[in-house]
Amino acid sequence: MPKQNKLRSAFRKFRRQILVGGALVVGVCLIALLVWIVYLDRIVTQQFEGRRWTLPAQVYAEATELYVGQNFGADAMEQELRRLGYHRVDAPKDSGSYRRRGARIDFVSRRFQFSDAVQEAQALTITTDANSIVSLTSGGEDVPIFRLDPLLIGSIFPIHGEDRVVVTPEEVPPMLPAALKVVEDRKFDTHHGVNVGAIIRAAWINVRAGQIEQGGSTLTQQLVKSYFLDNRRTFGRKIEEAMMAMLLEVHFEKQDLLNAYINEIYLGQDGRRAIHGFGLASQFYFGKPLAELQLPEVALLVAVVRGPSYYDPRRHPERAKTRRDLVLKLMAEHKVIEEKAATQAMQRPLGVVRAGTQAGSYYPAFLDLVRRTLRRDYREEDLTEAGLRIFSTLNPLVQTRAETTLAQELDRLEKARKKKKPEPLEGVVVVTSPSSGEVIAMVGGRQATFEGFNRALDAKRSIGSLVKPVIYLAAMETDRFTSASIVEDGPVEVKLANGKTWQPQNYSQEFYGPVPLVRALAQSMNLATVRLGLDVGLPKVTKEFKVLGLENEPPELPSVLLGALDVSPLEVAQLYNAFASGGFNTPLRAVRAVLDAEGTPLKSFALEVTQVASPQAVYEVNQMMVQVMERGTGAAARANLPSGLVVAGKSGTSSDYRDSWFAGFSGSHLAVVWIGYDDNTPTGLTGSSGSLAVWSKLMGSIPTTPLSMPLPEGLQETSIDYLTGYAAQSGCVQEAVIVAVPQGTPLPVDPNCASGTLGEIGARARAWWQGIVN
Amino acid sequence: MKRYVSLLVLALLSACSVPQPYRPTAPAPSVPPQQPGSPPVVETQPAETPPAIEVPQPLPTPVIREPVLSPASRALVGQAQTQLESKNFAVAASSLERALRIEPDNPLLWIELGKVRQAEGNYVQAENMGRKAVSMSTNAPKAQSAAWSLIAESYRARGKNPQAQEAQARADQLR
Repeated sequence: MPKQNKLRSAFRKFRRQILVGGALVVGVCLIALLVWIVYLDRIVTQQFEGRRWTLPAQVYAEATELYVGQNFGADAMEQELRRLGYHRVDAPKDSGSYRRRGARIDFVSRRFQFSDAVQEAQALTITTDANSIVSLTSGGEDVPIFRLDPLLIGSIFPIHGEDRVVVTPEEVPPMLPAALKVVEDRKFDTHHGVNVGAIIRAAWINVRAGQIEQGGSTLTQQLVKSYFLDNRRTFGRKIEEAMMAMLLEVHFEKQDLLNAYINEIYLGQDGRRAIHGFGLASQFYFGKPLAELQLPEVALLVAVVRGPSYYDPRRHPERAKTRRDLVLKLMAEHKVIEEKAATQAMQRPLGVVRAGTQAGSYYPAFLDLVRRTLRRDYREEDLTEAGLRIFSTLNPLVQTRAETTLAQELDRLEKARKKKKPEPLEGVVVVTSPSSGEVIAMVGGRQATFEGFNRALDAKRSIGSLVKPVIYLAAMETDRFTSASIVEDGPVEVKLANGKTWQPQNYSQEFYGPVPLVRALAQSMNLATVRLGLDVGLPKVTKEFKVLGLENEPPELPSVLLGALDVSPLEVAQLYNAFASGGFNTPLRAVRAVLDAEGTPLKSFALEVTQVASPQAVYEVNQMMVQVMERGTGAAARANLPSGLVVAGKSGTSSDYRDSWFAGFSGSHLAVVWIGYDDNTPTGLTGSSGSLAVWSKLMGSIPTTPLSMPLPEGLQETSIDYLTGYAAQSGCVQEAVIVAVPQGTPLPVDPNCASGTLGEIGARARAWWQGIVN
Repeated sequence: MKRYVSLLVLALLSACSVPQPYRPTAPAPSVPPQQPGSPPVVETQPAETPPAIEVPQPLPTPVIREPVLSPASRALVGQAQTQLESKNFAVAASSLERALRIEPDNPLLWIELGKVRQAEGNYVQAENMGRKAVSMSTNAPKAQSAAWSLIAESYRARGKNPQAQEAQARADQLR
């Protein structure tokens, strides 16, 4: 008792002081609270005003052109539309829909801002025969040419991986906000940022369940959490979140908040890439724009909001479907949709496109090239934040074929292998369109969707015999050699600067003696080539590499003649592109044009050509490379190519079989293939036994045209004996081959044939012998 | 008996196909040791060429085939010409590049693209496009003539009059 009295008297004595102190504490707390609120308010308003999301640059594939004669049968045409996310309906009225009736397809295109013009949505009719378009009309009028909206192939997103496609409220199907409210936040239209009732209800449910089953967060709170805060879930965070949500509600309209939510929220993961916003999610899951989504698709996206990983429709389709159907049921219950519509939608499959095969797939190697191209002109932030629209040269069909062909062949090669290596065999494919210099496909490794070391650009490897056509071109340009010239394939010894002697060998370890150049190239004879190169002169040869488009001139070393030269696959493509385009260098490019977020053209990468070799010399070498494919190291390709498809190419093998290369072209495509190990250990493969199969299977599976070059002035085509190089005379020739040589080139004649010792009899015997052998 | 004869012939023939041991017909190139830093000096001798005769080649008369534009290309060239009139060079070029993707081997399109480059003052590319067109029109004198005219024009614009005259002469000769 006395103690209490003491306390009481003390209280009485210091009553004023205590009250003042208390008031002070409360005051300080209030001020701190106020300061905090003002601070949060500034964050909220400043960061949210104008809602500047960092907008990754969007990269589009090449647009498909439609015109009479284009190689599209009705099936291929329908496939093309489906690839672009067009959906089949009974009567196409809306953008992105089509109807197929046999060989006739009616469709309504999407409005699209191209780099040079806006193309409005248009209703078109296509009729086809077995494999091409025979008419293209709109409203009964012929349309000479029309481009489809291109596929969005990816974006250049920042290091933290947040990728999105921002949509305006007009691009949002009305069902989406309605569904979001019903499922996530029924009081959205009336609450002030937080819904106390919902929080208490959620807490009660969670306490009863013993775990977190239901969140009481409003859409505004979810937006705050995603937009301003990190992932930590603490009580302090919750308070901060609630406060910011209320502040947001004070400053902004409900409609703005909802649209921000639609663009902000996290909806999936694609490797390093985080899918944010419904705009990108729609592309990612369905391969079409958000505006075109149907009820079941909208419901699925809303279902995914709750747990993009748990309800991942690709990995857990059952789970995702159950939740989608729940969303549909809730929508019907709350009269957002008719009961019947919900029941019908529940019958529908998820309709998610396969990842990596169609729309929504991802081409890191190619995008890397795009990014590097643009980095010369733009800062990294401009690319990842400024919403640029980039028109690239990628052809998705060729890209997909290149990816699958490479993966299949590498699997096959590894299976055939006796000793298994722990490390995977790797490969690269680069495809260009020679006359335009456009890179239309690029695979940077076996796992095409794996982002990392881009071998197509960064793996500088020894190119072996791929150098040979360059040496032969240098030789033709001296005017001292023709494709019919005879060189000696015999031992070569070169004393090097370091005192050592270089003694190259043929792949077969044999000597072939005097051979015509066409055969020396076709069979990739090392000794004949070294002699030729030394005769032409090393400085001339090394300069030729630079002239054709190699960035750095190789050192003037004899070993360069056999390809001791480290070059990336893309650079090889640049080098061979000069051959494929008839002696014109065209800088390879992956980007055609760049538009800013408002659609103003910023930059175009124009087509440029420079003549770098005489058309005659290039023609001769190209004809020799045709013989590589006809009877040389590329002959095995024939089995995979359609008959009549003329192609030219060259194999390459580096020392100890570390690198297997093949580079070659048709009339409309150039492809370069490399196979090897990352650690540079031997593969046991030559260019012919490794890369050639990938090359030929790829070329055989894409629509490409035969190589046909007009014979340049001053050249003539003539027939020689492939084995000896003698003029092909009736009765004497063993294996005739057509080569191009300058008009009036003297050709050696077979002395035996001229003296007639064997003459007719020999020829008849050979014909008879051929009859037996064949 | 017949069988023996054919066997004998076979044996004879197969004897012929046995690879001959290597007999050098030309001495291996002898290369003196190179000075450090300087390119290797090489000395080679060409292979001994057998007696040569001129093989008379009946030259086929070239078939003249002038290129024509496909309807799609024609529409795009029309567009490009309108765009060129309004000095919209980049857009005109991009229309022509579209056409070139459809018909990369049509010299007329390269000539049109060269004209756009010429109009925007990129004379070097104008000439290069002309040369590309020339290389594609060996059997099309009309197209080749137009290409040489473009080349001549690009030279004139750069004040290279002798070259311009020479190119113009080639254009006129083909007409």
